[in-house]
Amino acid sequence: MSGVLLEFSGVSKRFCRRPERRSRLAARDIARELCGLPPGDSLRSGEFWSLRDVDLQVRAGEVLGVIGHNGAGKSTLMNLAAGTLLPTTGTITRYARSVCNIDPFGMMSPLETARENIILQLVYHGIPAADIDDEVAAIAAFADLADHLDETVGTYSTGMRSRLGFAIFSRMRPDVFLVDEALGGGDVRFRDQFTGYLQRYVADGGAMLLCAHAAPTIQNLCDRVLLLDQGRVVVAADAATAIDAYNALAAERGALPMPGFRGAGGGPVGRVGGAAPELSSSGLRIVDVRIAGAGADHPAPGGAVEISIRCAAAAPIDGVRCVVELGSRGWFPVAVIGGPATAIPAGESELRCRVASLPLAPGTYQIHALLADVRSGKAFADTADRAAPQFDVRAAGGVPHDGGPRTALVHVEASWESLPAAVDGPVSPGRPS
Amino acid sequence: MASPADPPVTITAARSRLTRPDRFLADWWRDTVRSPRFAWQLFRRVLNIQFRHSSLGILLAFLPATITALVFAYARRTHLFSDNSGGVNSAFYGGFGVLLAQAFVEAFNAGRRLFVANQGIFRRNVTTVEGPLLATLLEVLFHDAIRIVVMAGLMAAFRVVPSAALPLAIWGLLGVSLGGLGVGFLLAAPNALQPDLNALAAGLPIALFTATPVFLIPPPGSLLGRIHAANPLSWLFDGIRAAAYGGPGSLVVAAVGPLVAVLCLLAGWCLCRVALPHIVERLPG
Repeated sequence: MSGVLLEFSGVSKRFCRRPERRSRLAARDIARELCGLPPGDSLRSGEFWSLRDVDLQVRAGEVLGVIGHNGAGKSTLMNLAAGTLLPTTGTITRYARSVCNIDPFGMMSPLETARENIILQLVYHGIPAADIDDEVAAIAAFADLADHLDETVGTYSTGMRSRLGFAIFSRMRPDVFLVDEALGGGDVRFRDQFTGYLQRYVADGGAMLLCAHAAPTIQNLCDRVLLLDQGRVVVAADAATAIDAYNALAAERGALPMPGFRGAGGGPVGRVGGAAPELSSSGLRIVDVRIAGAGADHPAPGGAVEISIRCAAAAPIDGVRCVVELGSRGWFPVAVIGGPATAIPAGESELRCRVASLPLAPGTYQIHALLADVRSGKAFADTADRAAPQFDVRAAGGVPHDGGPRTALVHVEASWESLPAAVDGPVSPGRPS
Repeated sequence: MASPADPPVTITAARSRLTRPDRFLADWWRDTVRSPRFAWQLFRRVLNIQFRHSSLGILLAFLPATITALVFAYARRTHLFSDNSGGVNSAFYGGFGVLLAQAFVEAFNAGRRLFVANQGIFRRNVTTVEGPLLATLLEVLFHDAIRIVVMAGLMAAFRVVPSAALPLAIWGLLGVSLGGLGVGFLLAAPNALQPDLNALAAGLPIALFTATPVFLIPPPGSLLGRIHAANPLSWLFDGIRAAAYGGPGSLVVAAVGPLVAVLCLLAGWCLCRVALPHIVERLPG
C-alpha cells in the first residue's frame, strides 16, 4: 500500500431521482444505521446507481483525472472522496491526514470581509492560531487583494472573489486535493498562477483527484485519467487515450466532444510535428497543423507566419470552411482566423493560412484547427481530441519575454514617434491654431 | 504535505457507523474536540450576518426580549393585569413566562434549521456536524445571556426581589434553551427534507404554548389546568420562577430539568451526526 493516499474498493453509490421519496428513503437509511444494519446493496423504487463498482487509487505525487459526460458520476465520486457522502457498497480508505476539496466559493460569505472569510477557512482546515495572521497576509499577497482585505466580499468583482477563493487554497498543504470543475472560469492569469501552484504541490509529493471538462486541464495536469460512463469506470488510461474514448462516446451519442485542445504528440508545431489524425463521419480528417515557412521555429510578435493545415478526405468535399484558433497554454482563446469557403479534394491536401502580422505577445501558445460545413456550421473534423500543438513566440533576439514579466497576450502593431516638447501659450482669438 | 510515515487511516465503508459503538463515540469525541475554533468562527459569522448591516447593530439582539418586557410593563401601568399570579403581578408573571417561552422557541427553531441553514458548507466541505452544531449552541447561549439581562430589567421594573436561589433560575433557563435545541436537533433531519414538516414545525411552539399557556396560572382542576400540568415545560417554568423570585414551583425541577434537557440535546446531536450524510445527499437544489 506504499504511497497510496486514497483508495476506492468496489465503491457504489445509489441516489433517488424522485424527490417525493427522498425523505422516506432518508428515514429508512437513518433507521437502518441506528439499528446497526448495512444500507443494503439493491435499488429501491425510484433509485439509480450513480456510481457502480469503482476501484481507484491515488498515490503521492500523482494527479488522477476523472472525466465523463454529465451524469456520469464524477461529482458523486468527488463527494465520496471528500467524505460528505457515504458509499452504498464498498470501502473508501484514506491513508492521509487531510483531504481538501477545492471549492473556492463554498464557504465564502458575501456579508463578511475577505479577512474573515479567509480566517474561517484556515481555521476549518486546521491552521494553527499562531499562524493565522501570516497566512492571511500571504493569501492577500497571492490574490493581490492586500488593499481590499477588510472590505466585505459582496463588494468584490467576480474576478476578485475568484482570486480570493483560490488563493486561500494556495496556503493549504493537504495530502490530497480534490478539484471538481473548480479550475475553469475566472481571471485567466490568476488561474494559470494557481494551476502553477498545484503543479508545484504535486511535484513536492502532493496528490490530486481532478475532475474537469476541459481537455487542456486534464492533459496538462493528469498522469492517469478515468473515464466514467453511467457510473462505471470504462477507461483507465493516459490522458490522450481517455479523451479519445470520451470523444468516441460523445460521437456515439451525438454529444459534443471535449472542449479545448488536443493533439497526440503535444510537441511544438513546426518543430516536432503536429496532430495525429482525427476521423470524422464525413471521412474528412485533419492530418497535421503546424506553423510553417520561414521563422517557424520562433515566430516573432508582429512577424509574418504561415499556418499549415494538412487534411485528408475520402472524397471531394466542397463548402468547407477552415477556422484556426490561437490560445495561450492551458487554453485561453486569444485569436481566431476564419478562412473562406473552399473545396477539399480527395486524398491529402494542404490549406495554408498566411498571417501578415502575428498578434501574439511573447510566450507559449497552442493552435487548434477546425474544418466545418459552410452551410450548416457543423464540424467535419477538428484537432479536438489530441494534445495541443504548442509553439513559442519570441521577441527579437530570441529572448522569451522581452526580459520583463509576462503581462499580456496580444501584440499590437504601433508606430512610435519622438516629438519635441510642445510650447504652451495663450492662443489669440481668431487666430488659426 | 503530511509526512508519509505513519499516516492515519480513515475508512468509510458501507456499514452502519454504530456497529462499533466505542469507535462511534471516540470519533464523536474527536470531532467535538477539533471543532470549537471553527464553531467560534461560524458563530461570529452568524452575528456578523445578523447584526453588522443593521442600523441598531448588536442592540438588535435585545429587541425581541426588550419589546416583550416593555409590553408587559405597559400592561401593568394600564392595569390590564390587575390581580396577582403566584405572588407576583400578573403582568410580570406573563412577561417572565413569555421570555422563557421565547428561549425555548428560538432554540427549537435554531436546532431544527441546522441542516438547512448550513447546507452550503455541508454539501461540499464540512463532513462533520460538530462545528455548525456547536456554533448553533453558542448562538443560543448568546441570546440566553441577553435574555437574562432583560429579565433582570423586568424584575427591577416590577420591583420583584430576587430569590437566593437565583443561580438555579439561570441554570433552569439554560435547560429550557438546551431542551428546545435538543428537540430541534431531533427534528432537523426531517425538517431539511420535508417541506410540510418544516411548516408544521414552525407552528409547533405556537400550538404548544397556546394549548398549555405558561403565561398565566389556570384554575386548578380545570381542563386548562390539567393541560397546563401535562406540559413538562410548565413544571420547568414554575421551577425557574421559584428559583428566581420564590414563586410557587419546585426547585428540584429547576435543578433536574436541565439535566433532562442535556440528555435530549445529546440525543438530538447523535441523531444529527448519524443523519448528516443521508441528509446531505438528498438536500434539494
